[in-house]
Amino acid sequence: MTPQSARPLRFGIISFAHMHATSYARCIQANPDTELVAVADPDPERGSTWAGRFGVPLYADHRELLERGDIDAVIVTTANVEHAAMTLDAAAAGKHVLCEKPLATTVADGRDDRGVPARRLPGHGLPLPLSARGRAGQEQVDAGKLGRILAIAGANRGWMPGGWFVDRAQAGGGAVMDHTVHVADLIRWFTGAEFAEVYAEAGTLFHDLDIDDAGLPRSA
Amino acid sequence: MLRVGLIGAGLIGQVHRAYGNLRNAQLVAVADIRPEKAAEVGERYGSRQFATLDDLLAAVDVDVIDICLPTPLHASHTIRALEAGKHVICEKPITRTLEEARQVAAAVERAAGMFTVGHVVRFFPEYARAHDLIAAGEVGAPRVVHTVRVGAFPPWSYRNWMGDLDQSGGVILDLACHELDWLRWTCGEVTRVFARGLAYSHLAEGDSRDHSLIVLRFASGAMAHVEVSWAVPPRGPFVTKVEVAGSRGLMSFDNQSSMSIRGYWNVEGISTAAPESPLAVGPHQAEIAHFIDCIEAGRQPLVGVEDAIKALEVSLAALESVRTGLPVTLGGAQ
Repeated sequence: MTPQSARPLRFGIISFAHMHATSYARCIQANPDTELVAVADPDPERGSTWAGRFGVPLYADHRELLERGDIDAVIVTTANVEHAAMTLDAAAAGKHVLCEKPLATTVADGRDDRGVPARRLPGHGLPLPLSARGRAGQEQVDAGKLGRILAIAGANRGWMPGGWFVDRAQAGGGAVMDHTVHVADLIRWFTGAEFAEVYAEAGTLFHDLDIDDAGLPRSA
Repeated sequence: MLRVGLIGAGLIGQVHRAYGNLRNAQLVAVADIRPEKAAEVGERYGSRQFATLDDLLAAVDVDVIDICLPTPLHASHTIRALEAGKHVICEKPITRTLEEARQVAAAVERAAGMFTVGHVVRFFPEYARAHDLIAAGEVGAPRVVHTVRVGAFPPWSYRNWMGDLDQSGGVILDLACHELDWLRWTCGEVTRVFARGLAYSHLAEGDSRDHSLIVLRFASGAMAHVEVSWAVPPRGPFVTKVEVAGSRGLMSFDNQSSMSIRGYWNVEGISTAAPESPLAVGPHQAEIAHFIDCIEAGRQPLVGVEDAIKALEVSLAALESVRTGLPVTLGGAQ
């Protein structure tokens, strides 16, 4: 990809279903090298609220946003179940794509590239390896400070977000789907290894929900 | 005044010196195969010194036998002392194998004396208080628990028995059994165990780098994660942590924030972390005093033989899970 030299990289955001969309929008507007051009959201009230907040036009249909020639990259922050399809639509339209995690709700969807050229395929919303702490940890591992990594224990917990996050059809899974990927991603970075086996205890232990809200995944 | 014979004057045996602080017990005899160790205790407390339990029993009339020997010797010595009519307190884990544990249970059944196992974590103030708060419903039902118990490998054990998985059961039997007992006490029976660890891997370097992550499922539906390790570098800190997420609240505690003296000095000739949280009555003294009081009052001690066997059963299930890579179901068909 040719560097953009003087012109800022121009972004569109597809959907404010995921709360991180607002963080991305703020980051884009705060960064002198990026510009928020438009947003798309099928929810008129939510869409107009945030389009108004960030001072950009709103599209009800993401495909119209993707037709704009003045958008270089999009961020996909729909509910999980739409991530794969939105990402492929954006890539097919020639846009760079940053897709919120998880990439898809099934492995099959995640692996399906519909023949889209590989260089257009997405970066993910997995920021931890890029954080200052993540990078420092990686440097220490790479420098051999720990020797061989024998075991890693990690945790990721937070408030139960409600909404589509606890609707299996929208989210694909509950706490385990939402939180595992960040820790799993860090583990892959630190070890340079792929997962071979997974065992998990999970359940609905805290809330009156029809989806898991707690889990202890273990892998090798 | 109950007369106590201490068998094994190694590290934990000498921690059991708390008898010196009790008004209703006296350490009258000590036995250790190493005469210099027996002398360390004997000269300090005016106790008669012997090489073995049998020597001690033959020469001195004691009421209580306190067994602080390597794990594989627990069963034989416990049974011998019970059959000699003594009350017995034995260090954890109760035995090395379940078969031995059943033999001990049978001996306890036949014996006149009382029996307990040194699951001392129940007597650490935070663990005891946490248990009581949870039992009182302060955080609701315990649902997800994380525990940590990690430190450097203890290199001072007699002929390095701790470094031999067959003898010590590694970090799972030696360290995790504390958590597994406390978790049973706090969260109820364990139905399923899955563990990963280094026990059967050359990476454990004998046991000296043994490390394990254990996942438990309880009959209540609750889950727990138990992390134990001897892989902390030498002179590194000994860290314990507990976090309980309940249906109505969260609770956590750790020894780092509550430690009042952070010491680093030689223990048994090895430079090591030697943290202290001095209390008027330390947990080992509390544990011993509790047993002595129970004997005098004819009351059942807090930790009974069944508790100790259950803790061993969960520990051995974890070890088995590490070996096979499969979960182990308890209390029913596999």
